[in-house]
Amino acid sequence: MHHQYAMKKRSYSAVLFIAAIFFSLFSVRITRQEDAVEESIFLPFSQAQDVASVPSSRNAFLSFVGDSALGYVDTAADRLYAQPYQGKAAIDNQGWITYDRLATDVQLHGTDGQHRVLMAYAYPWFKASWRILVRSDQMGIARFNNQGSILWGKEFSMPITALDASSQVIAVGLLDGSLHIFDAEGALVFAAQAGFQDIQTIYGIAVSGDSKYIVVLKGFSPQKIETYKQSESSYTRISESPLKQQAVLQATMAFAEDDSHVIIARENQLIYYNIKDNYNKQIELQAEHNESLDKDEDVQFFALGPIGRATIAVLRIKVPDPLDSEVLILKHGLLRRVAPDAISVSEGQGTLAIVYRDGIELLKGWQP
Amino acid sequence: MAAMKRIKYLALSFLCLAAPMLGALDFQIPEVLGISGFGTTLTEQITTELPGKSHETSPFYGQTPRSDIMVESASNNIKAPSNGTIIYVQTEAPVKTIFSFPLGGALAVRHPESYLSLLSGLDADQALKFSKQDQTTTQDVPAVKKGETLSGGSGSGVYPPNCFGLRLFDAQSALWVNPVFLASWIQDRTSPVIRGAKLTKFDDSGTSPFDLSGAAVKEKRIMCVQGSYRIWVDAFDTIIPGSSLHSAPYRILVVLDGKSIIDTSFIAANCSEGGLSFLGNPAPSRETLAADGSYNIGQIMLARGEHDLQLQVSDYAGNQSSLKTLIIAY
Repeated sequence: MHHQYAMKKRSYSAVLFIAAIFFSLFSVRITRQEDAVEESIFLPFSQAQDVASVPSSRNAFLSFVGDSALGYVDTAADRLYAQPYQGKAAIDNQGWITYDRLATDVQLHGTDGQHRVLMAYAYPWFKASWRILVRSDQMGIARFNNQGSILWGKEFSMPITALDASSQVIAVGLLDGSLHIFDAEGALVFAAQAGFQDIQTIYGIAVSGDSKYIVVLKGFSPQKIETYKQSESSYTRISESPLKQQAVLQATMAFAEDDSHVIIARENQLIYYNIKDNYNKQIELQAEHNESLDKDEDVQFFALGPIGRATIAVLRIKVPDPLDSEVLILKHGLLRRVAPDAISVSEGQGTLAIVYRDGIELLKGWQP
Repeated sequence: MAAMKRIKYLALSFLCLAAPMLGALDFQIPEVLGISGFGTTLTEQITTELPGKSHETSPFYGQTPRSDIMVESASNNIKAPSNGTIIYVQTEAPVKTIFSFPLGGALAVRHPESYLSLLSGLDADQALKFSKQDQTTTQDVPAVKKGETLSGGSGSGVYPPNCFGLRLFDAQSALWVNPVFLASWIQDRTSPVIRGAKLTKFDDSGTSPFDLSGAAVKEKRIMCVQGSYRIWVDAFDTIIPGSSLHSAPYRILVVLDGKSIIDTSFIAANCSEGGLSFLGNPAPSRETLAADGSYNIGQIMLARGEHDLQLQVSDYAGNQSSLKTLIIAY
């Protein structure tokens, strides 16, 4: 009898032990699992080819802007085309633009070798095939083409505080809380005018890649997240989620490729906003990645953009030392990967390109 | 005697035009070395500084009148012009891979009496300091105090070192207000300069413009077809003596045959769905400017016969320059 009891006790212990092993493995996978990658290759800028030699057929190419170099990476041939630049820059698959802080020297370059001075007192902003100039007083935008010709322009009665675009629409948020959405021809698709008496500043905007949703961070004490959904040829506000954390700093925001959520980055806060269930929560990274992300108030987060399905890349920078940076890869707001010393990412063709100060790391077979 | 007249004019201008608009706002533009005033072409600074970028020939995106003022400080600091609640903070990103907006480090401040101001060109650390003020509850709001020293560091956004942008919005009237009247310390005794003036046919029928100034005017007389004309004026002012920053003039008056027919000023910019409107022109603000930087100040009707046309351009302090022309319409 006593022997049977002892046997049972041992069996229970063994089951518990095995369960504990499974549990620990499972919890590690939840917090630390890195997404599947078949191969990792590092391409240093020191061995890059000149951007002028970029071939005209660029199907497997990704563009990038680094800290001091910009260019293209051929993900099929593992070849890097880069050139150093001064000041600031923006790039897309047709070419790039460099400009100085004072916006007195805006130079447009094409991958076809064409080069011209852009007569503009503005900062260029590139995204999803949009080439936009943000006027120096932040009171207007203009769309321009590869030749540098202005296609259309819009002036606003308040300074622009937020900007984002999909391939079909561009959304502009203003200081007074007005939201304007334009199509590729500059036609107004939707406008939510704000009253000047009750200013509800827009601090950030994210447009989903398929243009179905637009999420806006706005308001002042209390702040809220508003979601707009595409309906027929316009947009309708479908939900509102109050924010617990108040802050008046401009935010960067990024929409997940699968439209599941938005990551909002402002100062040392990262906020996860779930579109379907309309809730938001602050992301606590420390609990998931202790060795790298020590508790530090003097950090700034910037949402870099979607990098496949429910995955979004975020840049983390130490404020006194911008050289101390890393790229965090979050899936549904959970930390999946950290790229220490990285400053940006570019994704496509089943490859994730992580941009460092001295080169590009290609993660091939990227399946987030 | 002339100085007394100017002071009287300034006081009268302020009382009649600016005072009702600015109400009881406790707002003081700090003493600075130079001001690029309200209405000045945004590209004025870069087109005069850079060879090969003359605004006389090139269409320039961003060539619009300022709805703010740019001030040049003696140091890299500026005093906050007024008390208020900070509702928006913008900073320059610390790395080049993140897009930064052109106003650089900026604070939007809400003041009593429905006024809103925006101070730009601030250092990123300075702007971040305000965003970090305690906001643990919705009752805690970040604030700035009048006279508080704000750092511009080595310059941010499109502003050169020691330069800052300052704009003031009257939410009740939906106007961007010219804040220069809130700089009581300015002592301007120099008259604005009229670089040029011209008439163009109102229907844009393709006829060449009639130059009202310079060598083209023989004995100050021009001949043109009777009809409706737009008047364009190219003029600038230096608000602070010795400063390299040029400004738009404040007020432009057109007197035709002894009658005042146009009286327009850069007292404010109206807001509308199309953007901003200056000098009574429709929005957007580029409607106010010709490609050569001249201001579209309005329309006149010239009937057949001889006409005396007088153009009076004055600055904020009441200093005046004028141009007289005899027009023969046939």
